[in-house]
Amino acid sequence: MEVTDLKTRHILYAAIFVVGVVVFAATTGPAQLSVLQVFQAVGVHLPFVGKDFHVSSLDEALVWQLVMPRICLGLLVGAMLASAGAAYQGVFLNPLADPYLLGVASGAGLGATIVLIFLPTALSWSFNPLPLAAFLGAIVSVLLTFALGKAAGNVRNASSLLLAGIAIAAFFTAVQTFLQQRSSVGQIQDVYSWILGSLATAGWSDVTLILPYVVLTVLILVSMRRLLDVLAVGDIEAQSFGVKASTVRNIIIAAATLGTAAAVSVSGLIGFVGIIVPHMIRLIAGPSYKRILPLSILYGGGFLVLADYLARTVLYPEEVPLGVITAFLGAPFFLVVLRTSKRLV
Amino acid sequence: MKKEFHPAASVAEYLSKCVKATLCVLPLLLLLTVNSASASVKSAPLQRGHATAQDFAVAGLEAQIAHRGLVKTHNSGKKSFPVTITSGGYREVIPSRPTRILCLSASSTQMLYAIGALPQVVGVDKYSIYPKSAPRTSFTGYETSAEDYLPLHPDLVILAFNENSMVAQLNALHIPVLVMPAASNIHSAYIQLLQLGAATGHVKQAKKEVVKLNSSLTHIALRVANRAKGLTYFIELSPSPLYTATSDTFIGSVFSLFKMKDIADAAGHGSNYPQLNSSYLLKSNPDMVVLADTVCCGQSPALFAKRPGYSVLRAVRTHNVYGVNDSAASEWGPHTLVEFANYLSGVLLRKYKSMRPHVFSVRHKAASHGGESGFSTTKRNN
Repeated sequence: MEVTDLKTRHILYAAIFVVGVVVFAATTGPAQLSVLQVFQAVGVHLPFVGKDFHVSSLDEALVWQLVMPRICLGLLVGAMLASAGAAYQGVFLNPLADPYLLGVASGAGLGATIVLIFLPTALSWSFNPLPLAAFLGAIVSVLLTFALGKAAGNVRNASSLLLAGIAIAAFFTAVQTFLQQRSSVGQIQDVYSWILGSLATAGWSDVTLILPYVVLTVLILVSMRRLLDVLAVGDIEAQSFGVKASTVRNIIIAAATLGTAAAVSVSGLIGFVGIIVPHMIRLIAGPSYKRILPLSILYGGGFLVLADYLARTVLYPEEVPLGVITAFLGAPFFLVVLRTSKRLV
Repeated sequence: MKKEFHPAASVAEYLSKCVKATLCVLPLLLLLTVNSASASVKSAPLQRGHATAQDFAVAGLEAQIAHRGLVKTHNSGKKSFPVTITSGGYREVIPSRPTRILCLSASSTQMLYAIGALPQVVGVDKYSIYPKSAPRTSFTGYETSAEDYLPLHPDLVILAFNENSMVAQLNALHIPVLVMPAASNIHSAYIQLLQLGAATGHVKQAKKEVVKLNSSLTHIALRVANRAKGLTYFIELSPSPLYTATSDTFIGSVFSLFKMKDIADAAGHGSNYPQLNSSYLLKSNPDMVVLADTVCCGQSPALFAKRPGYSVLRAVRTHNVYGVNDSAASEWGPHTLVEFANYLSGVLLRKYKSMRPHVFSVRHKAASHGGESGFSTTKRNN
């Protein structure tokens, strides 16, 4: 009973944090709108009560078309990366594992690079192929990682999968670098902007595009949170509990990869969220995945909304790439994790 | 040791500072004088006095070039060559009049053509599309080895940037090389014209070209006069991420001819090409938007209007979003410059009233036709 209370309390705090960050990011942005104006601009879009709100078209566009999609996408991508990071760390029993471990980043990067270099006018198409190419790239690279890992030996052995991931990432990165080297300066700039990640041009279409993937993945990961705790004691011990470690591992990896690929396809490669947030939660709530996974979803979303808030306000009216902000916060944190990782896992 | 005070030395130092300051400011003052003098007289018969004033402007530029040591002729200036040119952070001695020039910058190609040096050119890069008669090659200017250029036997190579340490590579092969970097304003483009004139043995033609160019721009600005004064603009260089240019760039200086204001000037903390926040664009609500990413990124006014939230922008509502060739923002040659300035003045003359709905009656007309103008209060219909 006491444990449940503790868990509920942690979830309550996390929910308050998320709501607080969302309200803060929506109302204190550089647009300098009052809290009332922001609530009215959002209220206009609410069913039944919308008619009662009056707001200028400029304010409405600012809040509803530019700020709110960024916040919603930040919540989704942050939740996805943090929970996938936590899941990867649990599966591979490695505190420094992140969602990009099995080649998602290099595959998505190659997919995006191909579109940016060979289809430079794709942004003007009615259907933007960039997210699709990044998504496919990510999926292909992870499938190759699995195939290579299996060929190298035993997929049940996590280290052969990790090594296969490193090899595939190196190969895809080499192809990407080769393509970049043969492109123009402007295209290289586009590729780097994508690699650094951004929510700057987020629209509602991006939110609806990844929403199903994120919801599905998050549901699978949360439902398997207890099994992740069992995996932590080792494959043989897990077997004695009646858990088939390799099956659990494959389902979790597949779900986390699918969700990460979807998130990356619209936001680019936002680093460190998948490492910072789960470790922060371990420090707060302990090593059990029963708490880490739900809290990763909430704190991950909140953290990315906060990081994106900094990205659009620190040098306003200029934008700072989101990846720079998360890495700026993440790098010092990484050192702390390295120093304390013995206690954490 | 106490430093002794010498009145004569202080006076000399003071005078020297005055001379230096005057030399730096003189060309700008002269150009401003020329522009304002011609702006005050509205008809064509001013040409004679005007040309003289333009000549003074060139003299001012030459004084600045000499003072900064950008062009140095040996033998006290009696002979044109050898000549030392300092540009883009590099100093280069050109021993004799070049006859086999390889030009790997589209803007420099336009300048060479303008000053009559094209017959000395044996090759230009593939991006040099003007003039059509230029001997185009497949070079991009990003070649990794100077060896690639050797089959053309160039005796002068002109670059826009020192990619792959090309300056050092060409120097090792004893081939003179000039780096003519992107001009940050029209004034820098004039200096490059005069430098190229000195480097190719076309000093007089270069001076004439500067006079002609300055005169053309003055007349283009004169046509618009104060009609566009204070109008705000936004230049888009790429849609995602949203890159723009401040007024402290070459394309920005063309807008400055018409006394327009760049909304990105508040953003240029570290770079003159900042990445802008979309909210800021909406909040600034420029009178005019110029899309210089129609080629690279396939943008158009229609696509711009379709982006989330942009439909409320004044420029979109008043149909003042214009797509131009990307070269307007990336090239600084005389042909591109005059063509873009002409285009802009044409647009401003036709549409300046629609850009100022609060001053002219367009708003009321639009309202009477049931259209929504300005940023009126809207109510959502569910």
